[in-house]
Amino acid sequence: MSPPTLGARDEAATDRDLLARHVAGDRDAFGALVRRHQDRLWRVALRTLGNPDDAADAVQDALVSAYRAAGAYRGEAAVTTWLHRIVVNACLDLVRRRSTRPTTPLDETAAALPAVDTLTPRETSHQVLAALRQLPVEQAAAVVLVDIEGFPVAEVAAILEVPEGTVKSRCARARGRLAVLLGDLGPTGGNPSADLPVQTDETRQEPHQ
Amino acid sequence: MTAPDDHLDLDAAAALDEGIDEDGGRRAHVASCDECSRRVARVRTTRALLSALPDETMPTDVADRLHAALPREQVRTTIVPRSSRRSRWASSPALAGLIAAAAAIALVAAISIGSLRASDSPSGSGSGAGTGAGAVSAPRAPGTNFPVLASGLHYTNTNAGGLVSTLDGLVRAPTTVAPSGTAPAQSRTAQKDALTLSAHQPVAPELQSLFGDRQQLLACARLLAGGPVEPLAIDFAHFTGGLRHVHNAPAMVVLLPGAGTLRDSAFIVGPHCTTDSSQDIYAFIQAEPR
Repeated sequence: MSPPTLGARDEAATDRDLLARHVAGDRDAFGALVRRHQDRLWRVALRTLGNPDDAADAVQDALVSAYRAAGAYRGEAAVTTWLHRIVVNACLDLVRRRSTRPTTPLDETAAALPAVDTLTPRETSHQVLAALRQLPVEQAAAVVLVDIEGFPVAEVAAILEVPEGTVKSRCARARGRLAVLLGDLGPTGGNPSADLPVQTDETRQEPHQ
Repeated sequence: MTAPDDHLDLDAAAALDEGIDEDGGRRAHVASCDECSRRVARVRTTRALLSALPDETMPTDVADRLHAALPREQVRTTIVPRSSRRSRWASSPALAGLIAAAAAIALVAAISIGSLRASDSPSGSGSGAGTGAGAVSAPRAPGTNFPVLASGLHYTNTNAGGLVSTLDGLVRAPTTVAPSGTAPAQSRTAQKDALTLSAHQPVAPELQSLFGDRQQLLACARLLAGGPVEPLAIDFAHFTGGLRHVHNAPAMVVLLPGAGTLRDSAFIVGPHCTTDSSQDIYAFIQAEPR
């Protein structure tokens, strides 16, 4: 499971260097670029889609497409933003093609998942992932990028190619839905006062409107 | 925004938490209402649960498959059903004297794509480059009747997608007549700033020799494609931008046919295409779906 080692030349190169080398015909450059970011891209796809087979398909489709389209990369966004955009779009396309998930907001009365406050961390994350799968995929993508991967809202807006306000409202709707689905799941049960590692408005990275 | 019990529902609590509900009255209410505070806290707990999910790495088998797919895909994109290519150009007039180049290119193509398409070489079974080189009297030189135009347009990062799609539309439109002539520089009317198949603006000196040499152009297209394709069209123009950040560089837009679900696409390249394509690719553009 150890990541493939990069050559010294690759380690010193920026993402843009690697992409430029790829476009210029260096056959190893794109692979090196992908190795840098594949774990994060994998997590985003896995948690947006909710199952590893779909995530593997989406990531592969996306990166193969990025491999071919690298010359059209305009350099306006960070390379990681561009890579995430392509992967997330592949995830959205996959879900929309299959229509296996809600693409509209869930009914208010959606049943909560069974929740107890004695779950192990592993069981807890299983419950969280199960709840994510019940979100409309657009909301899942936003909340995965912002709350799980910790991207600033501005960057998520660039990845999803929507306004920042849309990212925020998708995140808020997703959190409200997840809070319903997860019931009182969590180490504090229903008690809000314990000192959880909650991001506060002050510590979050994006500006608030 | 309130639940039936006059407290915020969780969606409203999440909106307040995210700062997209700036209603001062609601904020004041939450501050003084234990139940609403609890609901906002539930939203924050949910955020904490999300951020506490363990980091995962891409499974080895997924990573192996992914990396194996990257270089293979580049080759696969170049494979075009030959039957459709033949019918497209079936009515075009023959060119004499180019079979030698075609045969040589067939050899290059066979090397490029290895065993994948060994049975589909345009030189036919058992016909090597050496044999073909002498067959100058062959009636047809496959793959050299593509439109060669000189729009002189200035392609940029911003407009290249649209221009390539326009070019693709010109070539692919059913009403478009394939160029009947084979010499690209004969009696064409200059049409300033227009992308038409008969565009004939001045060609940059660096590109002059290529402009009149369809064998070289075909070789360039095949080097770019990595396989035995005919370009849909080649436009002599200029380009600014791309990863190489060239400025107003003399460039050829080499439009290549898609295959399967892949769209038609264009490489924008500089003057050394045939000798060193790897140093001279400015951009790769996919045409819009038709």
